[in-house]
Amino acid sequence: MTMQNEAPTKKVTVNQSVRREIHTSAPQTGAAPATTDRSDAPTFEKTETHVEVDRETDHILTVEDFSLFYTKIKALHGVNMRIPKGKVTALVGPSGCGKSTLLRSMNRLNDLIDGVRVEGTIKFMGQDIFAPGLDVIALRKRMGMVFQKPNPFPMSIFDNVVYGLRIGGEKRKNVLQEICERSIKGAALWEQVKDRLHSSGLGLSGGQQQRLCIARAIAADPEVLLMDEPCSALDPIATSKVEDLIHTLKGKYTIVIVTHNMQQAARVSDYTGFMYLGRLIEYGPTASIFENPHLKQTEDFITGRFG
Amino acid sequence: MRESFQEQLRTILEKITLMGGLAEGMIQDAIRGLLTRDPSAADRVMADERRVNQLHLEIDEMIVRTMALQAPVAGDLRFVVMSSRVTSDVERIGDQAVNVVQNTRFVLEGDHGPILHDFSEMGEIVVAMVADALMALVTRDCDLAEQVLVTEKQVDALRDGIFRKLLLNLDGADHQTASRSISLILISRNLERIGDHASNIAEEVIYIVRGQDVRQRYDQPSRADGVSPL
Amino acid sequence: MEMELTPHQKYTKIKSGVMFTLCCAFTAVILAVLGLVIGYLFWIGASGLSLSFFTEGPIPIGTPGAPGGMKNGIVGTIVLIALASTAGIPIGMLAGVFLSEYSTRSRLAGPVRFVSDVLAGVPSIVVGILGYELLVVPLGNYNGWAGAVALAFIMIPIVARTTEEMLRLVPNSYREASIALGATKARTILRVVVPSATGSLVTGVMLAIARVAGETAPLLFTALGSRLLTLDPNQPFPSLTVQIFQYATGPYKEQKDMAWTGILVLIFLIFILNLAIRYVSRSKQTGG
Repeated sequence: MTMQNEAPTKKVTVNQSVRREIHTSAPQTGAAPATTDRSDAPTFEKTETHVEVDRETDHILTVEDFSLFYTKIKALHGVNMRIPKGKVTALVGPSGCGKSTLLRSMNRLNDLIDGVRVEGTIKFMGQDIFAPGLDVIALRKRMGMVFQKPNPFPMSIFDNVVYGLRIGGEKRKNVLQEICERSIKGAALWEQVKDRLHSSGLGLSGGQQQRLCIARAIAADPEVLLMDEPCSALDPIATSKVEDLIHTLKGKYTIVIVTHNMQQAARVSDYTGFMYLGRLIEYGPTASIFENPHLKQTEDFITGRFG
Repeated sequence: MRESFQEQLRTILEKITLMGGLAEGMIQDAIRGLLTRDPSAADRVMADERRVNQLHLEIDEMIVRTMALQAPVAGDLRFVVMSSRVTSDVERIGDQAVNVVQNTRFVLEGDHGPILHDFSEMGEIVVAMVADALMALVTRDCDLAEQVLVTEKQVDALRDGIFRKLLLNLDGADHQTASRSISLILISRNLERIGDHASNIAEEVIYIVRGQDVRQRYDQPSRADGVSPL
Repeated sequence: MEMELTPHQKYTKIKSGVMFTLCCAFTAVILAVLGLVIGYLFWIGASGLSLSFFTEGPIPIGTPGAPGGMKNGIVGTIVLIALASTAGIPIGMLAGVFLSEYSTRSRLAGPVRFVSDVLAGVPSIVVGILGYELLVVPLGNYNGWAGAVALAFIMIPIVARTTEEMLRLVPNSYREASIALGATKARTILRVVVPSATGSLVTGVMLAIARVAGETAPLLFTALGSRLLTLDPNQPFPSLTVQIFQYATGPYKEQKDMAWTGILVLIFLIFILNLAIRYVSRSKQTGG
């Protein structure tokens, strides 16, 4: 009997109040007003590094309290990051967040820019790469770099690939040929260029050129591959070929890839670091970052609510 | 940013709420039909059920489209994926309300004995559970969701109580009384299942908001062992 | 459906039309002037074109076969250009490389560029005087070396500036890629940057050559000119431009006529050189 009078009014009230809730709140599924484990703090103190990163046993590159200044402007603020060996680590973030700067610091390519000053350090296999006596040339030989726009030298494909070897003084033809073939195969380009190794590298399509650059980078047998938005100038099919390539290369090489394409980071990487305004905000396994990031800032960025 | 995407997410949520409201109404109508013997209640429930099923299809279609076109991640992803489950749970709640209506027919044939007050109490509780679970979804309130999970125990207890009480009626009863008692027991089972589904929704809400899967934690042992054979 | 233009649109359309007509008209004027000049030259100079012009040196008026040809001048110009280039091109290119590749790190770059610009703007006669002081006075006589040096002074800033400009156009990504592979800066410049700009660098060189091929004033104070076909740079040295000057200002009509022919040949040479520049730079562009 008690039900009869209550039933109609209760139904309407519940519906109405719920409806009101939907329309007055901010984007419902993104903002998290009531939960306790989201840090809404706008000021940043420490990188939110997931425990899985620390559990990795072998870190080939460690960035320790690293800051970088372009004369007066501070581009990187005390970044702490450990790159696990043999895995793919992605750096994502809005434009100008410092991800490319951080990448280029790893092989000291920023030395080419005037007025660059650094604090803190980066260690490669335990060695401080900014130590005064360090041979930068030797360091760079142990790291391969692939750039945003494919940039094969205006030489033949063969000369492109063995450029790194020739710098090292290797002159023996058979060695060069063997390594050239191995690298081009490693870059999944052999079938398409094996008959024209001595034609110009510039005659290839964009995607092929980029794979040529990858072959060139791995020919000198580096330990680390640094990739700065390698697919942003490529069409989707070429992009997917390069991504497949990254997949086959990891394990043997440690890969650090900067990308502005969230989907690519999700597809390709094992670990993802989110950077903003020169700081590493959150860093953890890619699956965790994309399923359930710890910080609201990270969530807002990857769901496209800002940036 | 991504305004049309936000719009899509809001629409999914609105439709779920609409569906939930209808389901709540169906439960209330079904109970009222049982308690007051109002035959029109049954018709309303059937009409609402068609609408609920239609919404189920619409929402599922929207979910697939959003996944395909927007590639949601993190919280949005959890919301979209779990919405599918929530929708299923709401649809089943509707089914259970229809079952109550069908079982009520057998109860009302002939005998005009009083219906246990327990049913009214159970009905109120499960309607509140459904309302709270959906409110928790909209407001992203995990505390409210956890309350729903705790309330489930009460519902189970009521079902068991009804079973024990009605079991007594079956001893040496005539055909009609037995039929009536068994149908009432089945109705109590329907209401308890509604409570289950409301709990499921609450678990899904916690996953959406926190990313924690709490299904194992809150699964009640009394469901697994055989206090009642139902 | 008819699309009617608003009055404003009509006005703009007319304005467009007027501008276009003016452009065409002025272009026609320029072409006409050019046509007149070349036509006149042809008319006056073509009559002197004969094989003997190219195969014989000057023959004094009054002797059989006069006035002869300008073989000495043509050969002289070629030799002077060759000598000037051996100094002018390497120095100019190295300066250009320095300005382009090392300028950010060095305080020297600014002054070097400034001096280069000044030198490029100096009247060529001044360069001639410089050559006189440096190489004619000490040696005691006008000579071909001084002429070559004067021409080299003119060539260097041109080559340096064009080299610098062309090297700057080489995308930085090449340099970065090379450095990232562990190359030194020098190797990067030598093996990657310069080769990738070859076409344009050649263009720059040819521009410099075309420029000095037509220089007269500096040679007047240095090589002086000579009626003899000589290959000895220690002596006064012949050149086509000086030869033309001397004939044109001389008293004999036959020689004046020959001067016209010389001008025609000179212009023709420069024209061929320009065509060659275009051809080379275009083919290098497509081939990479």
